[in-house]
Amino acid sequence: MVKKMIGKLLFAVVILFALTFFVFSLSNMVKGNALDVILSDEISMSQETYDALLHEMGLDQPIPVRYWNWLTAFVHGDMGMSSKYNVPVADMIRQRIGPTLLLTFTAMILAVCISVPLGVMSAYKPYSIWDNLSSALAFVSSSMPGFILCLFAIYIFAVRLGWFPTQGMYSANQAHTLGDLIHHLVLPVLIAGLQLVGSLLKQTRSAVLEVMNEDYIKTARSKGLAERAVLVGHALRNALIPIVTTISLSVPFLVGGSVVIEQIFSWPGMGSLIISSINDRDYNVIMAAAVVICVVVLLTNIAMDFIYLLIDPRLSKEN
Amino acid sequence: MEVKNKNGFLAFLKKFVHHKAALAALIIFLLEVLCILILPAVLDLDPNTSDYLAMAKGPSAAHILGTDEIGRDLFARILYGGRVSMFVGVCATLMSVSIGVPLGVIAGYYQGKVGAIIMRICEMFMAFPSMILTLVLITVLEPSAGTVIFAIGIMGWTRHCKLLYGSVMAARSKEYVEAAIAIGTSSPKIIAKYILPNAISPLWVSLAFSISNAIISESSLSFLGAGIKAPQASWGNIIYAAQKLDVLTSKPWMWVPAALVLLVTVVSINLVGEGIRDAFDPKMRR
Repeated sequence: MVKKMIGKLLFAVVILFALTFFVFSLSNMVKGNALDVILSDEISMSQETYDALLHEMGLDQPIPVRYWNWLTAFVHGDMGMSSKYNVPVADMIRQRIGPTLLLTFTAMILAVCISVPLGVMSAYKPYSIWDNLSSALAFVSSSMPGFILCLFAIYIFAVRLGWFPTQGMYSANQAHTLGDLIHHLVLPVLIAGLQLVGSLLKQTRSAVLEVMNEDYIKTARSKGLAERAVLVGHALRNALIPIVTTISLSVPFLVGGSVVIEQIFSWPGMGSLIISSINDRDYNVIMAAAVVICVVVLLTNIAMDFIYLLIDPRLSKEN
Repeated sequence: MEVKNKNGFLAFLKKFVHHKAALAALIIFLLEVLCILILPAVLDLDPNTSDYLAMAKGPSAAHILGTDEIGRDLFARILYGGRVSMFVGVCATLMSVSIGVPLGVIAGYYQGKVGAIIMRICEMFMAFPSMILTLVLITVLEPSAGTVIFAIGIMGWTRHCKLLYGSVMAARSKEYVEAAIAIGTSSPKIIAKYILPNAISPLWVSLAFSISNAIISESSLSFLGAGIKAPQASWGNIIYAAQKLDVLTSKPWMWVPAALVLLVTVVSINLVGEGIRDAFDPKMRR
C-alpha cells in the first residue's frame, strides 16, 4: 500500500515535469516569435546587437538549462513580471487563487451533496420518480454548455427577478461581509456544481446498482438490518471507490468549466485572470496561471488518492 | 453487434427507431444540417456585409433575426456559424479518434510495457484541466478553425483510448483469438479480423457524445474570445456579444437565437447518442 502511494507520488512528479516542460516550450515559442518580430522590424541589425538581445532574453543557452532556470525561479515564487501591469506575476496569482478555490470547492461539495444521495436513491429504486429525476438532471447537466447556462441564469435570476447580483464577488462600495459573499456566490456555484452532477449521478447510480446484487447485501438484509443501514453502511460504503474516482477525475473538468463561469460573472479568480491575460497577450501571466492551476488540480488528485486509503478497508489492510 | 453485417445493421436500425426521442432528435439534427448547408446559397445570404441603416436592430422583414452591433445579418451569421461549429466538431472528433483508437487498440492488444506506458500517458492527459491547456495552446498558436480543431482533438483522444483499451482487452482474452494466435495468424490480421469487429461498438456510442463535446468546447472558446475570431462567424462568437450587460438584458435577439440553436444541436446529438447506445445494448439503458 505504501508502495502504491509512492508510485502515485512519483507519477505525479513525472506529470509535473511534463506539464511544466510543455508550458515552458510554449512560452519559448512565443518568445522566439517575439524576437522574430523585432528582427523583421529592424532588418539591419548587427550580429552583436542580435547576440546581446538573445542574451538579454536568455535565449542563448541550451533549452534544458533554460528550462531548469525557469523552473527553479518558478518554484521560488519568481514567475516573472506582468507585461501589462508591470507587477510580479506571483502577486497577481496570490490574489486570484483564493476566489477560484472558494468557487470550485463549494461547487464540488454541492455537487456531491446532490448527486450521491440522489444516485443512491435511483439505484435503490430504479425507474422510480427519483430515478427519472436524476436521469433528467444528468441529461441537462451533460447537454447544457456552461456559458449558456450562465447567460440564462443571469438573465432570469439576476436581471428579471433581481434575486442575485449579476457579477463580482462583493458589492461595490460596501463592507465585505460574509452574507454579501454568499449572495454573490450562489449563481456561479450552482452552475459550476450542476456541470458536475451529471457524471457523478450516473457513476453513483451504476456503482450502487452493481453492489446491490452482491451477496453481502443479501446477508446484511437477512440478518435483519434496517434498509437504511444496508443502503448506507454496506451498499454505499462499497460503492464509494468508483464514486471517489469520478470525483477526482472531474476536478480538471470543474476547473476548466469555472474559467467560463468566472469570466461571465466577473469572478476575480484564476480563470478570469487567464482570459484577460490572453486578451492582453500577457504571456508570463498566462503561463504561470496555467501551471499553478494544473498543480492545484494535481494536488487535489493526490489528496483523493489518500482518501481512497481511508475509505477502502481492503486497500488499507493489505499491508 | 456488427454494423458490417447487413441484417445486424437492420436490426440496429429497428431498435434505434424504437427510441422515439432519439429518432426525433435525429430528424431535427438532419434538418438543421440541411438548412445550414442549403439556405445560405438559396437565400443568397451574406454574413459579413454590414447594413449601416440597421445596426444592432431587432428582427425586421429585411433581417428576420435582427442585426449585430455592426449591422451584420444575424440569421446569416447563425447559418454560417453553424457550418463552422459542425465542421470543427466533426474534425476535432476525427482527430481525437485517429489518435485514441490506434493507441487504445495497441495498449489493449499488446498490454505489457507498451500498454502500461500508453495508459500512463492517457492518465497524464486526463489529470490536466484540458480547457486551460486548450486555451494556452490556441493562444500561442494563434486562434483559427485549424488550431481550435487541433487543440480540441489533441486533448480529447483519451476517452477513445480508454474505451478501446477496455473493449480490446476483453476481446483479446476470447478463445477464438487464442486459437488464431495458436495457428500463427499475424497480429495485424488478428486485430483487423477478430478484435476490431468485436471491440469497436462502444466507439459508435461515444462518437456522438464526442462530437457534441467538441461543439461545446469550440463555442465556449469562441465565446471567451479565444476560438474562432470574427469576421468568421461561429455560434460561440455570436453569443460573445452577450458578455456586455446591455446586450444580455435588452438586446436578446443578438444572443438568444444562437444560444438556442447551439442548445438544440447539442441536445439532439446527445439524444441520438443515447439512442445508439440503447440500440446496441438495451441493458445499458440509462
